[in-house]
Amino acid sequence: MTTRFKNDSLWIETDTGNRISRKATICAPVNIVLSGNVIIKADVIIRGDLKRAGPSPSIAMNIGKYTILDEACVVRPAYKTYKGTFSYYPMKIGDYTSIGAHSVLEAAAVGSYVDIGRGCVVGRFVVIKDCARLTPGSVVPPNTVIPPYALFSGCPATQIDTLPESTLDNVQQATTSAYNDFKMT
Amino acid sequence: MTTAVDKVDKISIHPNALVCQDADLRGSITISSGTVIHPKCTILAVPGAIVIGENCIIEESAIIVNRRKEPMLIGDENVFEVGSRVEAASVGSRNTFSVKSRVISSIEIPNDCSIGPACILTPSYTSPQREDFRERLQDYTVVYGQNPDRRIGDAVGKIHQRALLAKHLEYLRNALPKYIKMRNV
Repeated sequence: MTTRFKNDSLWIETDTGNRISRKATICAPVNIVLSGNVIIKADVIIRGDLKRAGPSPSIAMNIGKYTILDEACVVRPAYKTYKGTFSYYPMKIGDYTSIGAHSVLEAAAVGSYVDIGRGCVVGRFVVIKDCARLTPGSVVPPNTVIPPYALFSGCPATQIDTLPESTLDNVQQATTSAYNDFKMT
Repeated sequence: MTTAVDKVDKISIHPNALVCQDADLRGSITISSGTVIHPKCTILAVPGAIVIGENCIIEESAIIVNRRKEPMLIGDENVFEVGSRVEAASVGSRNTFSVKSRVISSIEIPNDCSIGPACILTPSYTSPQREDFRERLQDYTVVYGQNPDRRIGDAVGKIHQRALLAKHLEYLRNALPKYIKMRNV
């Protein structure tokens, strides 16, 4: 019998090329969609159990292809009360996005080709558009919208620069080669 | 384990509290009714005991440490968010410790305080520190920004905040046991 699961290793590789560390904490995988070629490193915490209130089945987390979650980052949906009912709201992360080590992400939506540095704190219901970049250690206040091609930095994070038009290709190349060069050791 | 832990863990959990099995609890810990403890958080009561009040939320990768011999008393309705590290001598009621905030052991937290994201709270005096030196904050202190700064807040929004916490706790009590293994009382 052939199987792609290497039971003796610390990593799991799924049929769609997701590489997931066994040391990561993934709560309620039923509610999480990984699009393929996602790397989830050790000690990452993904909360899929915190999903929309109510009986209807829903997805808590949607992660695009070639996305890299670095060591010990925490990805959890954001919560608020709307019209008197408390609920967590699903989070969507785009393609070719990387999230740095020890970052905490409670955003509503993260676009594609986004680079979040290490040790960042992204507040509740932040929307990060495509090709944006956060420098390491930045703290984004809740409900911020980060425009496309913006470079944000500081505590609280503000825009310090815009990124060149080549960002999309650069980030795509960088994340793809990071996935291909990644060794599951 | 070969570490010299001469005391056996004495953990008492109220039947109405929710404690995830993944949480790391060590030492003499009392958890009161209604408190919710998420997976992967750490509570270390190694020299002295820790008593946690009612209706607190302790989120994932939060760390609570008691570095003193005398017990550390934590009041009711406190929120310890993701990645916060609290070593305070005592904690009152209705406080919020935001993401990645840190409180060191020579500080006493009274009631209704709010520690902002990524703030490291140290005593405001730089005089030669004695072993038993403690600084007690005022009620309604807000700690914010990079340095971090302090100011005394007005109580605006406290009623709303308590109502949100009550709904949050109700949601967690329904949702968490469906997906996450809980520690048996």
